[in-house]
Amino acid sequence: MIETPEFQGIHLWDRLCWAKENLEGHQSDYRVVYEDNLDEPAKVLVPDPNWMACALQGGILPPVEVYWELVKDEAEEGFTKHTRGYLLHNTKPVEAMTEEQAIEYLIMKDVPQHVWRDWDSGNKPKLVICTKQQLPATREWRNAWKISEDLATDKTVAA
Amino acid sequence: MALGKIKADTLEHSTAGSVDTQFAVKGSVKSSINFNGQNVVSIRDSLNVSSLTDNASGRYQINNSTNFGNANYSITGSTGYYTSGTDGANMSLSNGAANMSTSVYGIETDTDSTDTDHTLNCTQAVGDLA
Repeated sequence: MIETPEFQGIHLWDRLCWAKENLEGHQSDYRVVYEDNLDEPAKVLVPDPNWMACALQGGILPPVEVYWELVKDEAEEGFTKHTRGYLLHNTKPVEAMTEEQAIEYLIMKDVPQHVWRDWDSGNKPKLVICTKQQLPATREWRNAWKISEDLATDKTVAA
Repeated sequence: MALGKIKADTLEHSTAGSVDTQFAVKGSVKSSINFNGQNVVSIRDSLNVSSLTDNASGRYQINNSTNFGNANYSITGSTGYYTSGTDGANMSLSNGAANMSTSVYGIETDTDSTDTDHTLNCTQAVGDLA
């Protein structure tokens, strides 16, 4: 396995370019199905293979909390541009993750916080991690997909 | 990729003139993706993308790994089918698919104005990074 250079202080984009050149992409079978609006169909998060390679390698991605800080900044009234982008580049990168840990990280980065912080408080989960084989095989009724009420692991999670 | 640095504000050719390096820094693609939007949605290749969200038929959002400096970056894209041509296939930016922010942008793909999933979808984003 190739060794990750010391990346703290290096621009995150430069690290991703290094990873693209040196790491093999990893196509994950995992998908994250979530509902953030009752009037809309369930959404399906697809992990990026190059990003997943970075997560598995370690020493490249910043802690997910850094992204939360930038989200907070962007939500401020009068926001025009990021002034704390250095948090992405100067914070110590996270160590190698398992694929499951990487999915959890990705949920906390790319799924709205109100969904994952409160994912299990209603009549049924608002968020489910599954494999792509558990999704409907065709997209014929895609705009009607909802998280299934019956979440047995051998069944599809959305229909 | 070596991690050494060459710092220069200008590149000068012996006869053809010079160019500011900021043209390369600011003008190059900072995020890109090529994905299949049909059946089980999957990403073929990308740069600076952490994930793709399949929001609905023909509606997707691209999640960037490195945030852009502001939410006014520029996006281009194209869409079509690998096997049956691209007649009537369109891609558009869409706040309906996702509110554009420094980390997210949304796109819609349609065929003759009806949201549809296509096998070949590509976008590129240009702008200053955070």
